[in-house]
Amino acid sequence: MRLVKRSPWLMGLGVLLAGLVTAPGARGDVTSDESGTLIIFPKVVSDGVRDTLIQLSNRTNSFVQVHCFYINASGTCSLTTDESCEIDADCPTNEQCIRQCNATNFELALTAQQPVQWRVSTGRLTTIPSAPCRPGQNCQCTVDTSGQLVCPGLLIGQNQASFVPPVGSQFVGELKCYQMNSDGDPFPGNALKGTATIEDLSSAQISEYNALTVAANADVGGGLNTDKELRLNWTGTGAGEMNYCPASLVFTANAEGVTDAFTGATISTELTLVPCSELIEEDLPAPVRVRFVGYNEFEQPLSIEAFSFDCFLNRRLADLPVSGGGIFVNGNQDLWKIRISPRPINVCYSGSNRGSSCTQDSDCGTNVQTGPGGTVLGCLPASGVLGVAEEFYSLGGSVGTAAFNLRHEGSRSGFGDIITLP
Amino acid sequence: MVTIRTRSQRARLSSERSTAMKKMWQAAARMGVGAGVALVAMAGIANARSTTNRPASIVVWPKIVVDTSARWLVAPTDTRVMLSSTNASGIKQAHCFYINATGHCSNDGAGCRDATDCGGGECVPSWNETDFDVVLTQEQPLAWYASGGLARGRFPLEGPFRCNAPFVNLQCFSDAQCPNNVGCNTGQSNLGSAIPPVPEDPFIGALVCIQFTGGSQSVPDQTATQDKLYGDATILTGLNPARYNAVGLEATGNPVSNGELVLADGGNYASCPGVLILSHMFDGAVDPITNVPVIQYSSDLTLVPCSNDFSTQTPGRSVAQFLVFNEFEQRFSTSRTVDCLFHATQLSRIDTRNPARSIFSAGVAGTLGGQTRIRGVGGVSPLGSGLLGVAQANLDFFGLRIGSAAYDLHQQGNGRSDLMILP
Repeated sequence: MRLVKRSPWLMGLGVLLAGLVTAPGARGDVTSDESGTLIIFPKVVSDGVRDTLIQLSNRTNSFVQVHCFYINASGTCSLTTDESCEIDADCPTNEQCIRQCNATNFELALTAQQPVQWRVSTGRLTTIPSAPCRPGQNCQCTVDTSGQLVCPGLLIGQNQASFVPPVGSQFVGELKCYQMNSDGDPFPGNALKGTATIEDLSSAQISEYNALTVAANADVGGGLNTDKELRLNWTGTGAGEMNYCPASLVFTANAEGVTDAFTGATISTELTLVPCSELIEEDLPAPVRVRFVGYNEFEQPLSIEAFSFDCFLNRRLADLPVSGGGIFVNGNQDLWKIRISPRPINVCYSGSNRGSSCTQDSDCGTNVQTGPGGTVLGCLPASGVLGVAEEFYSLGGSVGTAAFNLRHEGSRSGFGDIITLP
Repeated sequence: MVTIRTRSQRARLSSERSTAMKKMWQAAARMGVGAGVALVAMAGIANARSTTNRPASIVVWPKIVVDTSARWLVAPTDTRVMLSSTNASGIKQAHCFYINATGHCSNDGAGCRDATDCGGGECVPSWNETDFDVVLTQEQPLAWYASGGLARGRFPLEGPFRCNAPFVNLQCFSDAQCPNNVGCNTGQSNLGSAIPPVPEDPFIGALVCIQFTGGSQSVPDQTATQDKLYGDATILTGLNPARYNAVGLEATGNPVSNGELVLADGGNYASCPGVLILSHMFDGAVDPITNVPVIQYSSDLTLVPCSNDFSTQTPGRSVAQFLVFNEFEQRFSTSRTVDCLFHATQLSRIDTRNPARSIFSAGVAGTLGGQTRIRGVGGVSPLGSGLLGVAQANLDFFGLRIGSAAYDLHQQGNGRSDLMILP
């Protein structure tokens, strides 16, 4: 999509200001309460039962351009292709879960401090501008003949074209966006922040979480470059492109199936994890290898030592595949503090042995690919992970929901993570 | 030990009527303003500040609500508080303060959040705090309902324990119960903990917990195992759960002296943010998902000062300046005093008693979504003016709440120095 650009002097001044404001905190962390250059909405749902409202904002006084990609993570079993799945354990014996993990790209632009929002299923059309709401009248969007929303407001782009494309009603996956310059290259403006609201279409019950953001290093020479590889390898000082992903995620959850004493509802928690690494250009799902360790209120630990998935995980805690059923369940006490850490192993990112453990690139077999910036996508550290959780309170056929952000502990080191851009 | 201190505060109604500023988008003017704001923002971005992502040494829950009789809200309401330790070895003590910001109606003395709860009377603010201790074992999660607290005997690890050898078959709670001075092997336990219920119902207020070293010489923890606590809260209104992450302030390693906790660069703890940023749908905006005209958004906002003098019972006080942007990049502004706690049951009641005329109303703002920057200024010396907060998005159907979701505010830059003074 081509963008309608504003006057060159204005753009130049905006870029200059963005550069000045680019000075993230000293720590190199992924956050959900600061702005960044890369923004990640780990859980985006439009499955006919629920839909998602994305709110994206520019927190600077500069005009910013953004490149986004939806990653459709729906999966089917390798042989029983009409059966949907998330992990191999969902499929018949000896079958694998094949996830699409394909990306849909689009671009948009935000003026200074501009907030925009769109409904994921329908997308939203560009308006330059649409008539504003008036006092005493309903302030609402209309649906265009194409099925896309037209909302009061100002969206910059080609008029009557998609500001954001629709994803339809069979989508579950994530949304990643990064800030770019007028040439389409990543730009370390650290201007983006956002929230996602997932809404049940029948009950209008909503869950809201803050998107995760990754700040970029604006240092010329040692910071973010234009090689189409976003490297998450910065500690907040010195060289490196973007902040490292966390060493582990931690959150406190009610045990699966426990009854809330106040409402009488049964509580279940759905965990969504996405890899920090993403091979968009190669159209390959990133392999994730993590370890779960939980502690209940009696200080008793339980763990899942080797858990694997590709590209995306969205699963109730009770459905984590362990022998004998879920471990973070009611009966194993009421409360669990769960820590999720990438396993300290190397995995083949591409090649004929993609997904296998390895010690060197040659272990990955044939057809090992190389990223746009020359990084060999062979034997690399297992991807870091980010995520969000959502609680479901069920009582008498009604369900209440609440999403929340996970806590982060420490930072990864060394190679970190990589996102290859188209 | 649980102690309760109470002191009424002077009435403080401050509804500073907004000065709505409404301009069309003019590039040159905007960029000029932008340059100034950008430079100001740049100055504030330096070191660590509050976080909702990492464990920390001070944990602040800005919004705790209890209304079990549904006097304020459409359904009985309670808050489930979670406090967890990430310490891999050893106990951590949290010294906590419930801050009661429940006002009382001038006409009947009933608890109130603002005048809308008083049926014609005024809501007279008050402030009191209740402090208590919680001892967490390594990696332990703990949860309680604010309405009920957690009394001794209801904690997970309180015994009975076993005496040391050779009397390991004897149960004990303390050394005195074991023969021959062999001692009681209590290991790590929650002994010493007691969480009181909030002091009244209905209740609105905040909770602050500070990580202490524990033991007989317990002091605010600036050791190598600082920053091991995090918290969550789920506000349960009927079957509408709204969960948010408590805000953390990490320790710097600088020992605390005289019970004064300095929240600033070079102080004892991370700074509070210079600016809070709230993403929101304007009140009255029709839900874009269902697109049914009678299903509309409203949001509520809770702000608390970073500073508090628990020693002299002086709550923090500052003025919150709101700068509201719509999709057209038009700016509106207003301000309100935050004295102990500020709770707007609707954003569109921040600047006026007529929500339809508010700058937070979709009809006035002109677009569905907005971004509001909130800066705390003023403050009472020696306390600072920093603010923390949490928001809640609500979907209403003909005015009846059918969905709600709490979420943390974004932040930018470091605030000036704030101060917490312990008793």
